[in-house]
Amino acid sequence: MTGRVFVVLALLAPATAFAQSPDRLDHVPAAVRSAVAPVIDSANAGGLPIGPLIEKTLEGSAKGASPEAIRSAVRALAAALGDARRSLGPASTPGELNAGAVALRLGAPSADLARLRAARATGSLVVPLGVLSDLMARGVPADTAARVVLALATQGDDQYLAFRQRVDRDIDLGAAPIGSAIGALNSSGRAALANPGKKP
Amino acid sequence: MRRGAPVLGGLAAWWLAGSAVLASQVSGTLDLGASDIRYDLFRSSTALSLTPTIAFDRGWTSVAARGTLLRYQSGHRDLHGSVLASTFTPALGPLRLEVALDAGASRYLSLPAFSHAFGAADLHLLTPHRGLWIGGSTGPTAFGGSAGHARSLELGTWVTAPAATLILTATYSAVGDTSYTDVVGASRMARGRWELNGRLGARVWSTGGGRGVYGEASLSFALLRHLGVVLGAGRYPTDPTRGTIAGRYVTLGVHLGTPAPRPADPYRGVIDRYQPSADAPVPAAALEVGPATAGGREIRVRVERGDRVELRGDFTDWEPVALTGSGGEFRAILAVSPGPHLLEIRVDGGPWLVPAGATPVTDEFGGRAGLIVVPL
Repeated sequence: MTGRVFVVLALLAPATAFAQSPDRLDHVPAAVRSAVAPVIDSANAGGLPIGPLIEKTLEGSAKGASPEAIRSAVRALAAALGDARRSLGPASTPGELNAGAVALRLGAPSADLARLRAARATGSLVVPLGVLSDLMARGVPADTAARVVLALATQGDDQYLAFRQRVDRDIDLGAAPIGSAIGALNSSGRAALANPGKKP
Repeated sequence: MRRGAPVLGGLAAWWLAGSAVLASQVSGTLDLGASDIRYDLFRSSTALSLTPTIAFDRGWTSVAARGTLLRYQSGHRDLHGSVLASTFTPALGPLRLEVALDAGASRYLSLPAFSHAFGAADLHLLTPHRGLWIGGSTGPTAFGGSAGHARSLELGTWVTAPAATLILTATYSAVGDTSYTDVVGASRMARGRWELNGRLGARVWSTGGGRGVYGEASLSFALLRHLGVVLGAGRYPTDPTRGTIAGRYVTLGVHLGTPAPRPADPYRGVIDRYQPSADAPVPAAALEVGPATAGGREIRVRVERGDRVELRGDFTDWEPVALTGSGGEFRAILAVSPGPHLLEIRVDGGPWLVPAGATPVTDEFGGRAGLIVVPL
């Protein structure tokens, strides 16, 4: 019974991914649609999200790019989406794959995406990956950007730095790391030295 | 003993360069405490303390100052003040260099003041969950007209997990003819409103600085966001570099404080250290994305002049959307999902531009687009 349902659904499904979003590409020149259709269909068959590919097509068309340039851009993005899925895992959401593809295209190493997934096994990665892209786009070296984003994902560095700064402050500002009053009391130890046997 | 001197001007200049984000990174605390303390070989005494602290954090740079007014059971008062500044260099692979300054002074009754000014440099090996550092400090100390010179070498390591952080250090310190080595472990654990801090150390080798084991612990509970109570007790060692002697204490205090910088600050701090790309955003137009609402997110654009502002991006299918507004402020409610997005704006039908508030990135079509990251 279940198999029959699948067959019927398959027959009812659109023949191509392109047919799934005809309205979004209505205003795109026919030459552009023809150029990108095979790429989008191939990506869809491979289980990749096609939304980003359609948006890249629309961007290229809006900016007056040639069909060849748009196809090249869409193909490169499809490849990046595939790389992102390999790094982030098959369970990743379309938004995560898109964000991962953007990061990869801006120079993030695939291994850093995998590390990010490992650091945050649950929870969305769209924002950390977006931050990673933003950092690299601003000129932060990829390795440094990845380290910061990993810290954001786990709050490891941040927690460490915050704690370490606090420990340093407490020690350096008052000699004892715990409690402001304690530090103050430490500083008065010499007073007792000057008055041996008496309360300070 | 840590921290140093001539770097203060440079640290201040570097830090003040980022004053645009200053307000969001200032935190202040006020501690009121009642304690019972017994210095080694002396009677115990109760004391009340008032301790304000102000801290400025900007990414990898931190400056903190603290003052203390202490009133003993005898009615005598003690004043104590100190400042600590620390900053990290940009990363060189997994390495960062930290330079720091630690200066302070204190006075009790008419006794000569004790003061110190230490400069320090630490080289850190940083990974997301653990790290290592090695460094040292040096600087003068003074007790009235008697001057000395202190120095230290330190090796440390840390490891962090979601609920706890552990630090282990070994420090060699020397001042005058006194020298000693401390091995110390410190930990912090937080769960909900509770926070437990602990420190356990041993002075394993010493010439004139005493030996022994010491340890402290404190438990704090946040009654409100800016109000907490702290209970602490323990024993701390003599610190000849600051002229203090060992003691035991029990203290109960109230902690009032503004929140420390948010976890996202390291991100902002890092990007502030790097210059934007050559094709900088157009300062004449600034873009902001508001929080998510039922109808979408409000996108606001401010322009110096212009009557008509349009926006296009991946979330508009690159179709121009006219923003409403006047007097230089324009806005629209649009459905924008969390994550990275590309967009552009144009004013009065002019060229498409990357506004301030978005990061310029090179597109695949020989132009530029603005990258924004929309939060969850």
